[in-house]
Amino acid sequence: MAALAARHFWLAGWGGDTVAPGAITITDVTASKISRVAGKDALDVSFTADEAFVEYQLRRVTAESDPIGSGTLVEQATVSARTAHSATITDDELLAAAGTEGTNVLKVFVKDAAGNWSA
Amino acid sequence: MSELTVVQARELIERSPFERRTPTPEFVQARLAARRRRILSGRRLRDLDPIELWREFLPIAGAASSFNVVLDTTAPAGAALALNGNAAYATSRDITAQLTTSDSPTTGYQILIWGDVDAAYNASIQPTQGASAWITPASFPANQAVRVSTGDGLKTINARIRDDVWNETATLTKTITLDTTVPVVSITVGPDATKVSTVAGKRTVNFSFQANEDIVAWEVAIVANSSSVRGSGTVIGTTNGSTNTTGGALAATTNQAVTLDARDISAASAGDGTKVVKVFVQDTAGNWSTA
Repeated sequence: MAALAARHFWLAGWGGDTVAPGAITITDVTASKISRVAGKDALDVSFTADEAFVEYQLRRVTAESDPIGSGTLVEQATVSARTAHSATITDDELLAAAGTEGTNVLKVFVKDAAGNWSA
Repeated sequence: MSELTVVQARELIERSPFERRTPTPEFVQARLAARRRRILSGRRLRDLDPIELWREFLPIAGAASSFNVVLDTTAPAGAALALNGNAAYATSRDITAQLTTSDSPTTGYQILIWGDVDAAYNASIQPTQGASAWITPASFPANQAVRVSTGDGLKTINARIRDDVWNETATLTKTITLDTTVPVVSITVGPDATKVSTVAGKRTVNFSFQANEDIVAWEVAIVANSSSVRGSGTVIGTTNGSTNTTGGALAATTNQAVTLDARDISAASAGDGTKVVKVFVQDTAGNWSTA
């Protein structure tokens, strides 16, 4: 009986997190422009989420409203659960993601421990 | 723009790559008070750096899950170098190197200069590219003072421009001939009289001169004494019959005849007495004779 109760509780807990991380905030970007020249070929972006995440993606998208899976992946990593992170984007990564000369829109997506990706 | 108000900065931010693209009504409502406080504070921002402005206005901009990054792999366009306005000669070791680009804006752009220079004059401008350092000019076109190396002759100056993300132009090279040597003028014939009057038959004096190098101009003037420099005296006119008191190009060691009429001498320097007549010549570099 005790085992059944525990199992029932576990199922209820698993089924209770279907909510994607809601608010991603870019808190800092160290450069608005990069080139292929060493010393100016990377930027750091810091972001936070309103709940802990274990994985993130930076994607080159066409609009901020684009969902996960859209655009082109620039960087992806799994991390220990956290609500804040800083990532470095290089010129090589941007070009590999079909980055174009001029303005590129990069969007941060995070995934919580339950596997929900932010919108 | 060296300074802008918070209001101006906010407008700039709204046009910048960090513009919040889809603010919600709730967001606008929540941030309104903070924005008012900042705008009304009268605080002024001295730097146009979009990143700093973006940080400044992050509380206004609010949450955003995306940001813009500009990829710029292109060197400054339309780059050009001019020495003393593209002059062929310099009569002084101190020249101006002007660097231009058709890029705009040029915030954060820098220049690098090296070549036949006086290494002691500016630590950032040295004989070799490797020893020189990037200079941030106040604006573009960038007018940079350069002191060329000692000794008359051809001087080569090289330069590059790089943008704010260090994309560099190819090397720009220009030359200028330093000529600090004044030409020497000699009276080679005459004068055929040392005393004149205004009486016909006794009113003219003739002589010839030549310069030791090619010249582009000459002047014959009444001066205070033999060491007087050009501009200190009065050039003798030709109203009353004098000839060749001024002129243009003349090859080196070529005799040039001059006739002075006493009436023109008197017009240039009234009164009887001894008059000092001096010939000045200007070489192709622009130097005027002195002795």
